Amino acid sequence: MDNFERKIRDSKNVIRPKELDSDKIYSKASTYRKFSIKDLFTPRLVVKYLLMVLVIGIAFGSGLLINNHNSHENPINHSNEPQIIDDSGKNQTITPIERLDLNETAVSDEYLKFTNEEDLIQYLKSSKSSYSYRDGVKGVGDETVNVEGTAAEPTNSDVVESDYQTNVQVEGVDEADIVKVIKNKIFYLPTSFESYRIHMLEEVDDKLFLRKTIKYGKSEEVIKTVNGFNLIQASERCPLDLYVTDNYLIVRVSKYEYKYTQSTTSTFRYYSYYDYTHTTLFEIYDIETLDLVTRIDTAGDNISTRLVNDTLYVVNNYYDYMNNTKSFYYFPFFYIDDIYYETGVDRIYYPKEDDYKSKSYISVYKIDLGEKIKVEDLHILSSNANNLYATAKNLYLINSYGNEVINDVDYQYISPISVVTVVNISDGLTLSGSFKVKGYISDKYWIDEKDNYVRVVSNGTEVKNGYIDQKYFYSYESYVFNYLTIFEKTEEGYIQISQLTKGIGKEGESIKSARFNGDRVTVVTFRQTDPLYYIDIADPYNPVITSAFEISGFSVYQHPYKDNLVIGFGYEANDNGSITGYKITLFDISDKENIKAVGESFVIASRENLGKYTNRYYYEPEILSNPKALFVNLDRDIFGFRIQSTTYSSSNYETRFTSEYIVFKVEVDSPKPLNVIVHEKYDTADWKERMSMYDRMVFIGKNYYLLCRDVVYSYIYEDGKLIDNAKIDLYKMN
Amino acid sequence: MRLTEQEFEVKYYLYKDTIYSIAYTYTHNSFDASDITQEVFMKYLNSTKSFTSNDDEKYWLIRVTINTSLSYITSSWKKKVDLLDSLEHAKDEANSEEFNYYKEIVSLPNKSKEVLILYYYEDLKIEEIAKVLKTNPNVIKKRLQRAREKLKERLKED
Repeated sequence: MDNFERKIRDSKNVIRPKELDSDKIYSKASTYRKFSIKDLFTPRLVVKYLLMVLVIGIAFGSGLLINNHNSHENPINHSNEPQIIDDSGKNQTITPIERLDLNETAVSDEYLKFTNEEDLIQYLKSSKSSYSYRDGVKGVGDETVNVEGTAAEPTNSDVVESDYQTNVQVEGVDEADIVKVIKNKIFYLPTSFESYRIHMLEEVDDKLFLRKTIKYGKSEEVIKTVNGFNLIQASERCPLDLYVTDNYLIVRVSKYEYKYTQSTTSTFRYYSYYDYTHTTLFEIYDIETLDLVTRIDTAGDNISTRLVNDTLYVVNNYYDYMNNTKSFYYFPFFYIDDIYYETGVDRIYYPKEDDYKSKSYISVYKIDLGEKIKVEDLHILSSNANNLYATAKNLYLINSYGNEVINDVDYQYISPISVVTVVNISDGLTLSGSFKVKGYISDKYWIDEKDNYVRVVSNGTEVKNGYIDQKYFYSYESYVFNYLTIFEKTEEGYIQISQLTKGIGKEGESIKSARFNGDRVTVVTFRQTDPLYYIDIADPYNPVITSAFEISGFSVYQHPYKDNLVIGFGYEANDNGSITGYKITLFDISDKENIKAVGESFVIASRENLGKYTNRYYYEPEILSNPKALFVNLDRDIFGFRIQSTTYSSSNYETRFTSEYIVFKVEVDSPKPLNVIVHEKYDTADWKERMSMYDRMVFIGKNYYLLCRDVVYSYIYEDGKLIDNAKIDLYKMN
Repeated sequence: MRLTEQEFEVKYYLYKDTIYSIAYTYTHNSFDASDITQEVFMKYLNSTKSFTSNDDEKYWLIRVTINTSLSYITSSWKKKVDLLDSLEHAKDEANSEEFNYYKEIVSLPNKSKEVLILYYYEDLKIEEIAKVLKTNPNVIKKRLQRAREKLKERLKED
């Protein structure tokens, strides 16, 4: 390669890599709806279509057309009876549980119920299609789960209980994570692509013991051998995250099955068939013995889960794949230990407004994790949910989507819209209504419940098109909007009582983060600089922006710290608005008329001089996309998080993966209030290890543990510092 | 969808830089390139197309990225914006020689630009580029030769 060609190659460095969130893309793809077709429907055409539908409807009504839906036979026996699992769950004895009679429950009149199954099937057939597909459903596979005990029992039992909690949005409403701590026990699911396992660690007498490990494996079976090739059927399960209660360890698991042919004489493989189950499996283990108590497999792709008072709430999107000729799954379903249950028609709601008619269900499962595990379900035929906000009383199922078209006389307004469906969980599962707000609710932190009020921030871009002489034209007029809207829950449903439409962000700026806390909400907007707004919402009828503080960059996650501080985690940017690094800033919001930054921000450069042919790509603190990665110990003013990065050297074609863990001490009175007290760094060229380095830090009493796959680094807290104590190799423990 | 979330993450990290870089060479700004990257992955997730190999999958993604980027910049929305103006944002932080080369490459006609980007930025071989663009390898060789000549000429003019 000559010098000219090398310069061409090097000019790629001008491209600034940008990290996107694969989870969000996946979530959006699963709720993908094509709205552009609406552009083809002018009001005149819509009227024509309506007339056609009317004529066909009359023809149906008068028997002119043959209604053949009775010819369809559903091969699945409907089991509308409620379910319960026996204590052990192993003998699969099913006895009825008490179910909420929804007919006697106050339900918002925005939703209706079907009176029989045929009505539901006709409704599904007539609904517009959804863009979420299900390829087939199978029961739980035969993969092996090994539980190993690897440590000797301790002789003493001086137990200190931990105060560690996952960084959740709402106190008392737990969110799943890869690490959970209860009393003196740590349950740890290392992030790894190589192998899947869950460690149970226990601290006794200031020492850490590995009690047990659950291993997840693959299963493979040769089905037949033809012409020197084996056809192999394989299945694999992958634990995703955990919860613990006093009695159980709950593991969310994804699973898939595939077939491949492999030469009997070489390693050549040809993958011929994949079967993604599109169900969400929960495995529930006894917390002491780690014996599997039961498996509950729920239909649909999981959106989110929450644990409230020993009750697990599961929200899935479920789409009935109507063209599957082998079987018809009109009804959502679930398995308990391989036994199939189908939802009864009495658990399904559909919206009164035809605009929201859909084939897709939002399914809510309530799994009571008491001594007897019970399952209750509720389903809404209302497109898909793409986010969940939960309190101890309600689940808010958020569906934000592309374009809602509003036709005025001369103009057509197109803007994003969010529909929020509320399910009350304080006594069973009750559909308690819904509300609609203009714009995207892009984050669960953008919505908040206080007393009878629901406060929501939303944003988007509204486009104005129009008609001239009845011809549609693009006017290219658009504007970015940022709203704060407050709803009140009344007997008539959720009523909008106030909306702040101006003042949040300068022209063209959009909301990057928001955090509600009691009578205030702090909102960050960004285009070139970061104004942090303090909005007083003590009077829900009259929200007021009381002050704004401007600083370079912007925060994408705000963490309330003690009473009057907020830590902003986000990006640093230059005067052009280009991102130059990552930044943590402490804000003082004690004076609502004059919010300000406390001391200097802590900036981490995203692009260092690593050599002419070396580029750093993915480099981001996990907390920016996953606030649960934030470790906070409020009593000792400590917080920490991990950063992963990838560097590529074009001189030797080597990619290296680096993991760092940084722990900060907060000293509010210091000019530099954020001080690094621990900075661990590890790098490797092994691609498989790229996700399995530093995961989380937890603490039990004065001992701090940095969990790093099969190794734990321990520290002792003394005199405001974390002092290195030991490196513990889990597989060498005795 | 074709993949579970976990499997998608693997594919995502495998292809994201390629998709983003190609999209960037058409849009010249990170926001639009991110949008296109997202759109391509969504098309991928919702597509029913089956791939016979990893290469087949990669070529498909590159082809979709080019098509999506072209339709994006030729849409009535983007026609109004002088895309090269947005390059100035990148200028501040880039090496000036690298920037000059980059600016000239992305200003070339699409057929020349495509082959240079795939050959030099994405390290694809001539046969692979031919598969992506569904044409004969000899055609790609000629395009690449012409693209290099055009680029040299433009750099001389500067």
